[in-house]
Amino acid sequence: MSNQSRINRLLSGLLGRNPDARPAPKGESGFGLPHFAPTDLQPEPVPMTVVHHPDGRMSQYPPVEKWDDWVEWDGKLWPQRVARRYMLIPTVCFNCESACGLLAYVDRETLEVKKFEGNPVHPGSRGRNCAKGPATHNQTYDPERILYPLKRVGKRGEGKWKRVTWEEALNDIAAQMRESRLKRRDGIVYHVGRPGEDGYTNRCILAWGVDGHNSHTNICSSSARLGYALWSGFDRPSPDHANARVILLISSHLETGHYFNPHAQRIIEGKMAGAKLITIDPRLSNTASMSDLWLPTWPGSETTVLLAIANYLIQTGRYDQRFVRRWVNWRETLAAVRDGKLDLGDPALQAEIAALSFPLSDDDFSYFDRALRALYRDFTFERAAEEAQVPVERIRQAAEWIADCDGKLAAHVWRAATIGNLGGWQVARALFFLNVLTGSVGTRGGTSGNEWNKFVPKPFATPPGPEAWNELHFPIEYPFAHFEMSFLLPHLLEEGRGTLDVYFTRVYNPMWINPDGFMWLKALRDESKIKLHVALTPTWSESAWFADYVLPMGHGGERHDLMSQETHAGQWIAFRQPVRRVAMEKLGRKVRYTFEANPGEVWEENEFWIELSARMDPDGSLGVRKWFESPYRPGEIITVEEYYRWIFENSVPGLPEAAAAEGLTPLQYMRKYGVFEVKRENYTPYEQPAPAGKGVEVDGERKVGFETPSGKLEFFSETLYQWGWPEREYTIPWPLKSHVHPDHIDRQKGEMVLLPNFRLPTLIHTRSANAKWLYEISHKNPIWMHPSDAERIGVKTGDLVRVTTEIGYFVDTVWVTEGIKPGIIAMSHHLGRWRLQEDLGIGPGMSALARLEEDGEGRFKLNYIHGARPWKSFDPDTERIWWEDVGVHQNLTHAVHPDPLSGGHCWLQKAVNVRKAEPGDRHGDVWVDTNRSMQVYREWLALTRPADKYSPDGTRRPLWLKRPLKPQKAYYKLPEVLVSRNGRNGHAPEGVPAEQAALVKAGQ
Amino acid sequence: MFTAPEAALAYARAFQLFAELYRSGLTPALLEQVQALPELAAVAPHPYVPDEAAASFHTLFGLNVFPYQSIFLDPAGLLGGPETDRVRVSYRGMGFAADEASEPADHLAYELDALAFLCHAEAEAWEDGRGDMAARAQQLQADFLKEHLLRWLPAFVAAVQRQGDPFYAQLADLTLALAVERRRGLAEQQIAAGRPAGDGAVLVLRPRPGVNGAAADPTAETPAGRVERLLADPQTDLDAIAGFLLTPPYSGLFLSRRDIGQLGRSAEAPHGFGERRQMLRTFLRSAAEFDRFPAAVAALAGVADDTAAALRRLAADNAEAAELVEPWLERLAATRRLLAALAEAQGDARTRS
Repeated sequence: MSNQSRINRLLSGLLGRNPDARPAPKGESGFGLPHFAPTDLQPEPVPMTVVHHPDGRMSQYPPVEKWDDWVEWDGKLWPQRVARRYMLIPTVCFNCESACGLLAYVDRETLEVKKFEGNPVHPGSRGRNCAKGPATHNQTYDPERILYPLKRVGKRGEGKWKRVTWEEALNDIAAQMRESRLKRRDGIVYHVGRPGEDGYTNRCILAWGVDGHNSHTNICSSSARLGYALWSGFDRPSPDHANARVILLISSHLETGHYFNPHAQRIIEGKMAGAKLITIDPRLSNTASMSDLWLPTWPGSETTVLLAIANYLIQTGRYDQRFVRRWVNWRETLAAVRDGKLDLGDPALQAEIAALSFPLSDDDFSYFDRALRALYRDFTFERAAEEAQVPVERIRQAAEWIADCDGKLAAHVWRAATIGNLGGWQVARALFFLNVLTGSVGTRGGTSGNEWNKFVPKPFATPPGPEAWNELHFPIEYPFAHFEMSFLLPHLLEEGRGTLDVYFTRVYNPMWINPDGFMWLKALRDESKIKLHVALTPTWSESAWFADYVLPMGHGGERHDLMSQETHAGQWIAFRQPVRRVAMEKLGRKVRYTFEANPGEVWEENEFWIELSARMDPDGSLGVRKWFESPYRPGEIITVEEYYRWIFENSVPGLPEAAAAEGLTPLQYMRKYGVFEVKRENYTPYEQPAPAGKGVEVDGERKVGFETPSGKLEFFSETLYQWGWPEREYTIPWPLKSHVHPDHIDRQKGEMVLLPNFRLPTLIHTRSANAKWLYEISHKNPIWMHPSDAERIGVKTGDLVRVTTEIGYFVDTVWVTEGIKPGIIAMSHHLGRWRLQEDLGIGPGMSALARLEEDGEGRFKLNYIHGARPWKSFDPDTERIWWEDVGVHQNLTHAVHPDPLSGGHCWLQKAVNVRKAEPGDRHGDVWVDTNRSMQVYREWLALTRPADKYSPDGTRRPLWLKRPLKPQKAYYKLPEVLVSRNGRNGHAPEGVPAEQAALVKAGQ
Repeated sequence: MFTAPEAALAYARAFQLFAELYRSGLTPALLEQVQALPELAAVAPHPYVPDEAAASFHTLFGLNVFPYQSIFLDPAGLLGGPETDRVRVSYRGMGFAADEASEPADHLAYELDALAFLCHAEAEAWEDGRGDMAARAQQLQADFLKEHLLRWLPAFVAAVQRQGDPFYAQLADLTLALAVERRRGLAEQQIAAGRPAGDGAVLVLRPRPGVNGAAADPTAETPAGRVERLLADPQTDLDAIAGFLLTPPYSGLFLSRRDIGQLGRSAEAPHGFGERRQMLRTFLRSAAEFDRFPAAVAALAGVADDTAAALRRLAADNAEAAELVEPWLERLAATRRLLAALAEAQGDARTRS
């Protein structure tokens, strides 16, 4: 406790004030470690809420009826018996995408948070959390957190900041938004790293009338999304691990994949019930080590392995023919064979099919069966074993188990092989092929679409789609991108393709997390390209350093959000809450804005967007304001509470009734429990009868079906065929040659593959640096290297190694381990944080102090001056930092690899050279030539088949594919005059008079 | 957190309560007030027995640590001397009168009374809408803290905390925190009001320079100078050394009877009874006589080091206290120099014999 807050507390007591409902003192020096009040009450013996976990364990929690007034001993003071009196406020973790439940223990007197524990009533996390959940407490009381709105003075990146009021920031930013919106509809951009909510901000962007949503998707999941979307229309899998017979994971999913905590517990649950766990990963992850079968495949060979398993099911007839006949577009596929669109590699069969009479009858399904046999007959186990460099028996074993799965194959891929490889989207497609063949689609123990297991309620009014198309997000070269080409933004800006007027980055550190960070550095510094950069972040980041405004936004217990995730086969919504605000309100104190209750003046985006949007359009003339008017008080600006109140009262089936049963309003119910289970189970929704005029016919009945053009699962993709990808390796599940295929890696010359993107389950992408407990667990990212490779280049564990990539090099220590496949090196993607100023920026214990130099000709050099050090703060733990190595920022040296279809960045890097560090090399050294960056970018750009050349209907993108904030249909039309880009001259389609074409401009 | 009038009132009450505690100890009447303050309530004796509380109070402030400014700042180490006078002059300047029938003016309780008096005056001025009067009261508080209380409080706190009474250890710690925070708050308000901090703010009301100015006797030596003179002087004997050690403005140390008793136990040398000076002389002489002198010097060095560490902790817990602690650390450094020279001399003497 600081001296100031200590004395303030004493003085409050002397003034006879009830310190209830009074937050800890504000002010720079008033922020410190939490303090808690003693109480004369003693813990009473009460029956605890016991959660019996399906794996046999039990946990106990304070019963819900005691949450408003809970007394327990302060464990930290043991053996003294000191009781504390808390209010338990539920909220939602913000430290990954799972949205697990948290229960904040808020001291009823000081309103400080003692701890965050699990919320036992949350159906996804079921009372449990991973290390990242309780670490919310570290973030809340982080001595380095940003407490006040800051505005840049001096040049961008100079590190000079002044404190401003929220009012000043809001007025200035809103004025610039208004000015941009009056000129154009693609000048305001919201670039989100971790959304942590469903739909709130997207609604704001729609209300502003701009096509302005950008995300991190294309360095993460875009290839997986495309693979799933081509089959089914949904773009994300939701495996029912707990009830599976076989769990097939591509990546180290159990411990580090998406939904780590909710999924890991269900994977173990499934395993304990007898499920077989198969992991495909070149790295011996913790998950791989716990698997029944580990397939350490060479990167890029995954599709071949999966198709070999598919082929086994097909050739042996051990697939679910009834399901495939009912739900796969086999009729359309055979029509494509007839029309010569799909080559079966069997002319006789091709001719037989061409001679069939269309439309086909159910009996003709046998031709599809034969077609499958013909197509995949060469995908033998032996071929797969050779390409993947794994023992053939393991692939055969995997195939046997899958053949026996009885419709219960829970399979998942998100970031691993899909986002690693050129053509990685075919990995997801081949994986889902196994779900289709085994009939494990949406079944108990199978794999569902995420939308079936996620519930996003509608708000009181939704603005229409934008009347614009943002060319910087969805450039014409990428009609299949899932989604925005976010990591190419600096390259597109460099080419002069556009500018940004107001650029919001939200919990997003683009310069650090994206490949080719120095290109971001150039873009972020250029005020002619990014005119105003507003970083919304709870903590410092490398990118925020180059912003114009740094606006502090709350952590998991300091904000409102509504969230749902497909953690299992049910549906739920969870309500993130600013816990101190809620406690204050429950104690009878009025709070208008959340920053009144949070530390310093930390705010939340929800209220910020309302106030900003209202100021952007004070008189309503832009049509923005009306979307922010209260549904309860016409004409007045909405409050955040009203926004959620309306949703809970009107959009969540069952919630008003559940609340009424307890004598609560729906909002009170959500404030109390923090979560509501909408559906316990939701299997095979596609089998439901379709509403009138919708759906697809199956065996004479109208069914809901899938959101694809055929309404069925699409084996053959007519869409890809139409849009310029007619070859067999695109139109059906088929391997594509990865950019790190063994043919491209000459190991004799010292070339290797760098696997740079595995996750550690205890870290939070770029936000771990503000959680001391997490950093103590993992803080460095040495290079994993197989002993045979280490011997070849003559290094041992701890030696420095220089890794040369296509655009530069970095220097890091090596960890020699048999846990990585020979020929491959691996590094965790989280670590290697740096700062440029000793006393400002990312915490000194979590980042290296660095020197950044450039030669003015596009070459950049980053050197560490020193690593982590203990430092003095109100938290004595900061003086106990015992590590120095905080890892190396490898992403700076990665060239961009945009997949020509999915648009995802193919993370695997060709390590041109890996050798013992040279004299003079130091740990953390990074050198990059951004001229090379642009060359590599252009090489990959040349692989695309742009919409202006290949679109079958004059549009930019197949309308049926998902797209965040879909523009109105008219804006899908290709521009009639193409703006010059990438050194190519724009051209007008023939027959359009030049003067007429000149009037029509892109996106307007 | 507080408006200026609220703060003035709250500080008045805090200084008043603390004054009473230093004047009378934890009486039943005060206990009730203390119970409302979590930090003190936590360390109050439990069970509370009024007679025992009175005995603890007397043991601490009646026999061991004497809570007077002159004890800590007067180079002669005597009560009622020039330091007490300086305090009286300040009281006159602010219109405060101490009843010196039982205790002299520089007792800690009176100094806290005086601050409470000024805070009350400030609160009343705010109530009357007299911003100028409030500012004047603030200036007087700032001056009094600077010229008097904060100059000796750190050494007093360090001495009290060594005595092993948890309640008064906490009270002393809080007293320093309170005074420091008041000074910081006043400076902040002065800055906010655009008044220059420190000198020259309310000139009319400043006591005459030289009387209540930067104080100390111009003829007084620096601690380091004093040590050098003692070491150079062939007349210096163990009594002179004891005199030095028992004079806080030179040694930086306040050695209580209890402290000296502990020195005796740890060095295994008798310390006798009576006045502190008597006890310390006995201790040093007997140590020299019974060949325990190196142990005695080491024990003294230990106390000096512990005191320095305690002062550094005070500064670490409270950045504002750092500059207050600095002079005391300098004095302790001089003491260490003296003790080192004694140890060396002893070593030489042995070699020679």
